[in-house]
Order: sequence, then C-alpha cells, then structure tokens
Amino acid sequence: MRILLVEDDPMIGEAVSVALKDAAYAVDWVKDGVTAGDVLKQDEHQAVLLDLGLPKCDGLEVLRRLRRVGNGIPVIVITARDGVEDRIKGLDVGADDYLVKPFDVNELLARLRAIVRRQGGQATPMLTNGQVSLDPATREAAGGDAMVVLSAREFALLHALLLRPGRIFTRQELETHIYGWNEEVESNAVDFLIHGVRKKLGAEVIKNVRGAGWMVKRPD
Amino acid sequence: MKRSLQRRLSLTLGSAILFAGLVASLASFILAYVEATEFQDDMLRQIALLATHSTRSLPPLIDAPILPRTESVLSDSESRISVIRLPGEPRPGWLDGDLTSGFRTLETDRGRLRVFVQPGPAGKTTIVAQPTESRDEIASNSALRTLAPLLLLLPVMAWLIPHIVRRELGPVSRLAGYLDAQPADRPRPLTDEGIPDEITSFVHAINRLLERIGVLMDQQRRFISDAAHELRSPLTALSIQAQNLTQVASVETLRERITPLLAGIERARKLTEQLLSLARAQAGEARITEVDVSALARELIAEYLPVAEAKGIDLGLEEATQLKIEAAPETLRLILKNGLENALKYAPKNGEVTLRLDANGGSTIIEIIDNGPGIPLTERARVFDPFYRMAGTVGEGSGLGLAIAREAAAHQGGNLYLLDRPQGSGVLFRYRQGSEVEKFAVE
Repeated sequence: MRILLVEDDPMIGEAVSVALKDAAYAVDWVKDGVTAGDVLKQDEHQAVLLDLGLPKCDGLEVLRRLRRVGNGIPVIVITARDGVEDRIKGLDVGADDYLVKPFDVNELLARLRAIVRRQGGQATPMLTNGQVSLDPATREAAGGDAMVVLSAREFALLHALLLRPGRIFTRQELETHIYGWNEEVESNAVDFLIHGVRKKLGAEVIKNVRGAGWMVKRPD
Repeated sequence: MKRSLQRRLSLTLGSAILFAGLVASLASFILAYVEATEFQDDMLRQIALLATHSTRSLPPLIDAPILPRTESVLSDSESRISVIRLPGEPRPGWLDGDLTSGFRTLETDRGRLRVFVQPGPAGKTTIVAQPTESRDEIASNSALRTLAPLLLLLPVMAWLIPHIVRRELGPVSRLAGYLDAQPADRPRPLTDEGIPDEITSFVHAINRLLERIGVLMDQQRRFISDAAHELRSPLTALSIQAQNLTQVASVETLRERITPLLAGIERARKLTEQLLSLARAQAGEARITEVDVSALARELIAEYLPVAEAKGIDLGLEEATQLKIEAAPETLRLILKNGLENALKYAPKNGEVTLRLDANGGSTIIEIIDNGPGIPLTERARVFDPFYRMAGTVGEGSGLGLAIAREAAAHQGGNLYLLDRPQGSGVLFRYRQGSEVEKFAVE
C-alpha cells in the first residue's frame, strides 16, 4: 500500500513518514502543492495525506483539482486549521476524512485503514477472500489453520492483493505498492516476499499466473 | 454630583434667571411706584383746577376722617381727597400761612398729608389735600400688580429649565448608554445622527479611537490564532516522534529516532522563547541606559564567529565611528542578533557578513550586510509580519524573528529597514535610532 504524504513542515513530514513505514506502508513525501498535483497524475498511490497550509498551491486547491478530473483516491486532510467551517469546507471539496494537528499516530493509521477499506467496498475491518483473511490493524493473517503475523512488507503485498481479489498484479505493480521512491528495490524482492507468505499460510494462498503475474482468488 | 453637567446647567441657569427676575421685579416695582405717585399728584392738580373754576358748592362727600365735619369736604373712602376753597370755607388747623402755589408734604396731627395749593383769580385759593398713607397704599398696590407676571414666571422656569436641560443632554446620556452596551472586543462606531454639533466632533473622535482599537484587536486576534497554529506544528512533530519511539525494535533505531525528537523539543522551546520575546518587546519593559555599541558589536561578532567559520563566512566589523546610544541593552542585542542570524543563514558558503557602525546627523546607524540572495521587493514589507515565511525558504524558522526585532526597535524609538546591499545581491539590515526620519523605509 503506497501513500502520498503532502506536508511542508520537514519535522512533521519526517516523523509521519517514519510512522507510516513502521505500519508497513510505502510512503512518498512531497513538500508543496504543485509537486503533489504532478505526482498524483501518475496514479501510483492508494491514499493521500494532505496538509492544507502548503507553499505554492494550497492543499484545498490540490484536492479540488484532483476531484475535478475525477480522481477518487482516498484523501485524509491533515491540518492545523480546526474551525468547524474549515473542516466542512475540506470535506465538501472532497476529503474523505479530516485530522487536526496535533493528532495521534494510531488515530491516523486507523482512519487510513478505514478509508482504504471503504474504498474497496468493505465495511468490515477484516480483508478476506474466503481462503485467507487479513487484519490491517494487527497485520495478522489467517489461512486454513494457520494464524500468523506478517512482516511489514509481506503484509503490504498481501494487502494489495486482497484489496482486489481476482485481479492479476504485475511485478511492477506489486513493487509500487510495497516501496516508496527512495527505497531500493531488489530484483527478486517480490518473489522473496511471496515465498514468505506462502510459507506461512500455504502455497495455494497466492496464485501465480504464468507470464502475467500474481493474484488471490476471487471469493466464492 | 458637582460634576453633573445637567445639574450644573440647571442650577446656573436657574440662578441666573432668578437673579435677573428679581432685579427686573425690583426695577419694575420702583418704576410703577414712582409712576403711580406722579399720577396721583396730577390728579390732585386737576381736582384743584376744577374746583377753582367751579363756583358751585361741592357736595359733601362721605367719611373724610382727616377733616372736621364742618369743613367742606370733597372726598371718597379710598383716595380720601379733601378740597378746601379759601376764603369762604373754614381754614383747616394744619394749614400754615404759606399759601404759595405748588405741592408740599405736611406733618399734621392727622398724619402726613400731600397738599396742593392753587391760587385762583381774585385772591381765591383752592387747597387739595390727601393723606400720604392712602397715596402710598394705592401706589404700592398698583406697583405690586406689575410684579405678578414676573413672579408667576419663576416657578414655571424652575420647572422648565431642568426639563429642557435634561432633554438637550439626552443624546449624551444615550451615547454613554450605547457605549456601555458595546461588547469590549468588537465595539461598533457611534452614530452622529440627532447629535448636537458640539458633540459630533467628540463622537467622531471616539469613533476614530474605536476604529484604531478595532484594528489593534484584529491584529491581536490574528496573532493569537497564528501563534496557536504555529505552536501546533512542533507539538504535532513531537507527538509523532514520541509515538515512533514505541515502534522501535533495536537500540540503533531508538538512537536514530531520538535525534529528531530532541530537535523537535528544541524547536518548540525556541518558538516559545520567541513568543515571549515578542510579548516583552510589545510591552516595552526594558530599561534604557547608555550602551557602548562598539563593545556590543565586538561581543556579538565573537559570539557568532563559530557559526560563521563553520560556513566559511567572513564575519567582520566596519567601524566608521565609536558609537554610544541610549537604548535598552538587551533589546538592542535582540535586534542585532536577529539581523546577524538571518545574515549568517542566508549568506552563501564562503560568503561575507559585515557589521557596520555609523553616525549621521544625530542618528545612529547599525547595519548588518550579507551577500546572500536578498529579499525580492514584493516580499520586503511582508517579512516583518509575524509568522510570515518567504516562499521557498527552507528550515524551521518560526517567521517571528523580524516581527520581534521590529517591535523591539519601535519600543526604543528606533527603526528597522531591510534594504538592498549597495553592490551586488544581498540584504542590508539597518537599525537606525535618532532624530532624523528615514524616508525610504520599505521601498
């Protein structure tokens, strides 16, 4: 799962990046609204954490432009503006959620999980395809009799697959879900992670389609 | 209550009218009295003339106590005028020998009499007499009647004056009531509708004051909201950095993550300190003494030399003259430190920062000149605003430094200017204190 963090304060940006990486997200961090707008056109991210007070282009404007072109990516607005009107405006322009600084990291992570879940059309916190289930809050996965805690990257991989059961992901697609821009991707990293997940939950959990990529099966 | 305008106006106006009324009454009484007396004298003269030229005997009139019954009496009960024609009629006892023509007043055993003697043809003389007591009574009665309207006027005025004064001062007390009812944080201007001209200028002055207060309040409100906003950023960073510590698995990661946490604490501390400095600068509490600027400059250069050397910056002093000024030492230090910090921050690696002391026509000039990128004209006025950071500036400054410095400068009668460095790019930070007014403040 790859998140775009838009925050101009270097200290907050750094701290939030660390927190998100700890929670097994791939994070890309940009510091102004114009860059954020450009990056979002690439469609590489699954959610955006957007600060409103940005240099060059205000966060609300970034959001407005994003929604105008029909981009429905989940957006959580993070801001120090806590007036009710600011919040209403933020939500009306198209934010999915709103966090006021200073906020609790756990709350941020919970809200992030919630909007991603809703984006996938699921109301329950558990992701499942009937064969394997994943709890995004605890990184616990269950398949057959096994009940294991996945590593951050393993979780990111399975999470990406389980959000769209039945869809085949290419190696490159999986890599963008797992790694941020500055992270070095080893050539066989995806194979290595799939091997790890299969070892913990059983080989049949992730299906390899020759020449096409990987998938988890659609629920029955 | 001596200061109640309403009461004072009522009292002074009332007293003035009472006094004028009394004087007018007295004058009117005296004039009417004299007039009545003269009128009665005229009457006596006319009666005498009439009696002289009439040969008929006059009918005896009733009740004329001043003369004996036997005397021929012409009299009535009120004016009690007696007419005696000589010779022929008995000569009254009070009449002396002198019968020259004219008026006289005689003391007799029947009281004082006003007597008129009218010599007639053939040695005939007519004497008309009237007791002064009756005359006085008639005169004073008619004089008193002239007083009646004036005396009636007084109670009417006594009632009217306070009412008029109260009504005319009504707008003033209504204004006071309106002002009292204003919320202290957002006073609305007073209306000058229905307000007397004399008070209108006062109302306008109050409105101008209210407007200035309003502007100041708005600034304060904006500042507090900005300050709260600014305090949130280091707090947010701190809380996330602290929570990140709970996720660490190894001591190395822990060490790695404690560094930004400490930096976050330092940032919060610095911001708090700056807010306090700004509050102090605005309160202008500092004590003014003579400051040896030359010594202070050397002290500051020594303090910042390590920072400059770390960046390879050539930090130096240019002293055109030895300077001593009246200033608050800590405040002046605060201002110059701000200038030096900015100069060292924006000067390039191996750049140059110069502290320059000069005096010019009674004013002291302290300049800090760097060869950094300079400040675009469009930004130059705004960089003094609290929390304003120039677009594209990196780092974690609070945007308070220049706001604090300017506030501090203003409080000891100095001025702060940001100008272009005369040669090449860079900022000339100028503190000027003294008699001359700088005309090119922010160009």
